Amino acid sequence: MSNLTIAFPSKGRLKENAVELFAKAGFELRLPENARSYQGSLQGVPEAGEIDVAFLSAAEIARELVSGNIHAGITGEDLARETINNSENYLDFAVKLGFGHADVVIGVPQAWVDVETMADLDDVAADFRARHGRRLRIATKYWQLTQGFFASHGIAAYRIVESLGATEAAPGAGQADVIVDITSTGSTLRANGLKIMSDGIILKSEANLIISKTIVNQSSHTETLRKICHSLTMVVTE
Amino acid sequence: MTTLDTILKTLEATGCMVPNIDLLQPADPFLDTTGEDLRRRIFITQENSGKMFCLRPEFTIPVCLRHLEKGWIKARYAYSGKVFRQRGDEAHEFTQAGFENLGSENANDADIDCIKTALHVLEQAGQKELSLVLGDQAIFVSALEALRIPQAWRKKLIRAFGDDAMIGQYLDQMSSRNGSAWKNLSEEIRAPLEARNLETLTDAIEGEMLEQGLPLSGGRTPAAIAERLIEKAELASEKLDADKRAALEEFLAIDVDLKDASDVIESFENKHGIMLPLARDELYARYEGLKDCAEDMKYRASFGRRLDYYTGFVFEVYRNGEANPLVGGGRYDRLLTLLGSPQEIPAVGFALWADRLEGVDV
Repeated sequence: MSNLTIAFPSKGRLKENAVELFAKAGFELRLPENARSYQGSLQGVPEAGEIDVAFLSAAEIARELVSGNIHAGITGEDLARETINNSENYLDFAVKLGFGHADVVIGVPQAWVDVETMADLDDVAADFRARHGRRLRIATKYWQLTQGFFASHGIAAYRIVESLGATEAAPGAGQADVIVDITSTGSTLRANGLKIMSDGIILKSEANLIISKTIVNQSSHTETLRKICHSLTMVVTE
Repeated sequence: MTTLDTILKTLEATGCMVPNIDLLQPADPFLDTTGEDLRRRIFITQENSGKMFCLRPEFTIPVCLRHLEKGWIKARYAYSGKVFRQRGDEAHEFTQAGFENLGSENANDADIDCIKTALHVLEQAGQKELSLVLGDQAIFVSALEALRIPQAWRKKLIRAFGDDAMIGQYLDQMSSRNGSAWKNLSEEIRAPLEARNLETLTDAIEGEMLEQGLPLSGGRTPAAIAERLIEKAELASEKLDADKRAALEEFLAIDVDLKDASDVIESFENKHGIMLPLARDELYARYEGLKDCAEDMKYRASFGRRLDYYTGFVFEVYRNGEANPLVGGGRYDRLLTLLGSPQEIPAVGFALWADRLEGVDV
């Protein structure tokens, strides 16, 4: 019987917040003695066997959950949904952890005064090639989320331009017409002359405790995870 | 001789060339014509240089590109081979054969010829009890015009044509007054908008673009934004009359024997006091051209393909009682221009789902 394994983000604010939240819930994260090791353990869950903690990059956690190498993990919902197509089939977004807030939004130029909703953007996209000789271009690194959201609004007439940094500057630089990116306050968007349409929020994301649906579940693990989720929920909603 | 050989030989005998189409295709022409969403439905791979290729998802676009490359005016093509698409639980790799007729000026004759060729090929391949369904976006467009639906709504409805749920959704939106009062507009924009002063409005938008560091050319221009804003403002106070909506829904529900189609259109015209001469004539001509070709022939007014290069007639051939068509085809006059042709090249063709032919070893 293999140990229950939970993955934590390996660095940054996400890691600090996660460790802190678990501590508040009464679970002690015992860090590896060798600072370069990526294995730890979790203490303080009643009647649980050994719980391994793996430190992985936030982007890797979703993939490891789907391949069934870990039972649960903490990562941003945006990353999980972006990495895994049809993520509901493989992942159980069990507890919203109340930190790591970021909205994935569509940013359109403020000067597009006629565009207030997705229905407007649909009209603009449909006419784009006839008027401007090319498709509407969207700069983003969120391919999956963008394609899924636009498809759900029946919009297919656009092209994605991959953007790995400073996405919000793409419209000003003439590389794209609109963008899809994360924002917490929207101030970077505004500073770049962009606005968010009333129905242009693709995902309100935060860090989640996510449980793998693909791993073969041992009943003792299920019970332990249930206890962890319960305690975390109590702390988050306090 | 396999059935697939029979199909190709039959097409060649009607004067078709059989071009060699590579399995690996540049991805951009497919993504540009169909849209980004196609990316999730085809198999894409990348060259070291970053150039994207895909496994051939269909033949029409490569055949058209080849036609343009050779600089030919008029030609008939036939093809057969594997195509690759991501289709959920269905097989990703399947066999298609097909026919394209590029550059034929007489559209009606070419349409009839295309359907007859499809039926002929299926018969040669041993298929019986075939039924035919026809649709035509151009007839829908003429109905929208005759019913005096505002231009901006017409564009939306034409875009949704072929998707009944989406048409319904748009009709709902149009039937309720669009209350969006321009609460987010600055005074500099609102004043010229209310005065319907296109020039001042364009200047104001240009001012905003400059201030926000947006390029004035290469994408949406101040004039394009101003025009659409005025168009939207005009529509905001309008709503679709209940009787116009009822007429549209009645039109879209037409699903009749092709033999009766022009009569049904005529009584629709009389009932609503409008004229649809194009619809009546075309449906009559199609029936005259096709009668006795298939036992069961239907015209369905709501039948269309949601691809913006399909502009006119579409058809499908079924084996009686089956859910999936054996053949799907239609007119795609806009495709060659989209692919870069300087002049318009009329085009019509069909694709045949070889794996659906009964007892065929492909």
